[in-house]
Amino acid sequence: MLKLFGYEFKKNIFKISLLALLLSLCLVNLYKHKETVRYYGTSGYTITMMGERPLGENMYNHFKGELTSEKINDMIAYQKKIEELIASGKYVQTETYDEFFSGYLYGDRNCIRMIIDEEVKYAYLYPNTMIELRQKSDEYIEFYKDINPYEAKKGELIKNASYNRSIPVYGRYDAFSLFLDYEFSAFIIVILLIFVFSSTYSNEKATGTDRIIKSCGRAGSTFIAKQLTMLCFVVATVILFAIIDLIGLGFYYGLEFIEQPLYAIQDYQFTPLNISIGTAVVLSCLFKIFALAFIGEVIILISTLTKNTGAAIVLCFGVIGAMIFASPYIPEHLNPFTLISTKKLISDFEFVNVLGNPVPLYIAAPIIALLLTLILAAVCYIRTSPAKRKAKEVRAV
Amino acid sequence: MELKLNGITKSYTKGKKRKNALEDFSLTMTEGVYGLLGPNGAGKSTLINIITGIIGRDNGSIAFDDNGNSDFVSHLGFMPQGMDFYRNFTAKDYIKYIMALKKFSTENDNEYALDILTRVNLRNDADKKIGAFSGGMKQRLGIAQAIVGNPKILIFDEPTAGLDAKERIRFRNVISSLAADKIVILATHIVTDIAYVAKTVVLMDNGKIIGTGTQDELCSAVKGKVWECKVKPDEVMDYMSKMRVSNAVSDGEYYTLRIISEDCPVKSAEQVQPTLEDVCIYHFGDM
Repeated sequence: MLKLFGYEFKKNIFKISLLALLLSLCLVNLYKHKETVRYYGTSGYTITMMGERPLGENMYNHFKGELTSEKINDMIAYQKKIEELIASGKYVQTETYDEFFSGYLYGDRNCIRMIIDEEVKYAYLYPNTMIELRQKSDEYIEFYKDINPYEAKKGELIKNASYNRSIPVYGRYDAFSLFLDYEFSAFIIVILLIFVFSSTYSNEKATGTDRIIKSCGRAGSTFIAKQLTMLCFVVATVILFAIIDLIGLGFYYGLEFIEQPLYAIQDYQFTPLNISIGTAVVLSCLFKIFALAFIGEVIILISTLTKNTGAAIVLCFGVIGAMIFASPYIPEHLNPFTLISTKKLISDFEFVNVLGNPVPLYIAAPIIALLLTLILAAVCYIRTSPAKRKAKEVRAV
Repeated sequence: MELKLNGITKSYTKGKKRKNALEDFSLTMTEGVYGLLGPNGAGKSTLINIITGIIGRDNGSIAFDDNGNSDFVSHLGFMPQGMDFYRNFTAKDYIKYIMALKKFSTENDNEYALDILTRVNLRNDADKKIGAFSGGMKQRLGIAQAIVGNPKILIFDEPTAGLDAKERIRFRNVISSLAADKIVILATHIVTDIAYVAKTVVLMDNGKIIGTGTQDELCSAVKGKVWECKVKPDEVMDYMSKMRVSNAVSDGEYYTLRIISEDCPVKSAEQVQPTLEDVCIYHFGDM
């Protein structure tokens, strides 16, 4: 079995053309990071008459880390100082340039406002946000408890998840925020999957190897070897591209504070999960593995339909393209493509009604994707199995 | 050693019609080469697919006995019709892959693969990518993969299609060398392939056996029905359209026609010794 697994790798994956394609797509991905960053922006730079100075970066580097009252007081004092300078009519302070003063006071004020009003305030007041959430949840539960028990249960789950939440540090999480919402690398993996696995059975049919495999009675083992190969490829490419994405996005934003809770990222303030950002990164990879394994299975199934690999590739692009196109019209929990965007799954309290019980979307969607993958695998197995030998008849004279 | 096919029946539904691909096919085989001869659609490939387990059968049984050993699957070597290979594999890789498929291993798999390739004269090409192989080399590799594990039953489905004369002779020689202690089933519609190597010829048409025996036995059945006569070139087409002509050879001025006929076709015709080709023309008309 292990040997067959190795040969399936050799058949499908150990090809120079694939290596070349992989390298090219990695470069395209790095370019996409650059473009994403350009679109998203690198916050914290102030333009001065003297040219660009990394004032925002300086401020951030000074204040980041554990949030103490002393640090907050320093920020407020600094903000007050700038506001006073502006109020005095000295719009441009050209005498002093230091790490906090760019010389362009309006720009400096915007920087400190962004840090204090948007970022620090969010972290500092997060426990209050959760208290508000609990209050709203209580009202929600109270309202629904008699008329819609399902909604009341949802309220309970939301309320329970909101306890013991706080953000003890001030930091920026742009790299992780973009990573969790980054779909381009999954798109690249889909292309690789089509390129690698659309020939899985078509090539076997074209070469007649399928008949040899069946005559050896190894169709089942070969089927499992193919499934494992696809799964290993998906896992390996998801990990590879996760590393590339983290390095690529981290290059622009840094990768600090990965141990902080996921809700430290503002887009995830209402996440149902009390996990760290690092765990969310791992979870994101897992979700992608579920989604891409499903897509891989679709590709393998398509490869059983024809002995022409070119036709299989065209069919794969057509079918997967149609699935992507149909995605907005399919309920999220039934659509494995949902798993590619982690943000959709874990940034908010989303539930699926299962027999009157609310099941979080991040649990329901992978389970359904897994079930769909298993169904496709079963169809694939049936299609590629030989007719059952009448074993007793064959072997006994 | 004995392979017994008993009452094999297989039918397909095409549209609303049901067609018998094999009908009550029974045959007992022992060591030696069995040539399955028949026109396209005779049921040769269906029979092979049933023996190899690729497709099921509607009725009948297959029994194998080799001194009490009835394990059929692990004693099967098969070269399918129109076989091709993975271009990025070397010949040695491919043989080792087949060894893995057949769950066959030795103390030194590399050496075994080289030994197998030596038997089909491919040892010097063992580490070449199959993508660079000629048609004949691929065909020999096809034979090589079939004999991995020293199977007792070897099945070749249209093995010489597309080969040049030299490669076909080489193929026949390899088959002859393998046949001493094996049941070799050779399905083809190329009569000469079988004429040289088959111990027993099985004539098939419409899913049935229409004749079986040694070449001599089959030929004697049409003895007195094969004629040779000389005709003018402008008469050749006329003869061909009216009679079963198995051969036409020109000597410049005249054509010598070989005609299969119950009665003497022309006065000048002489009876000749039938060949396997004549037998086929007699039974199948044009193949």
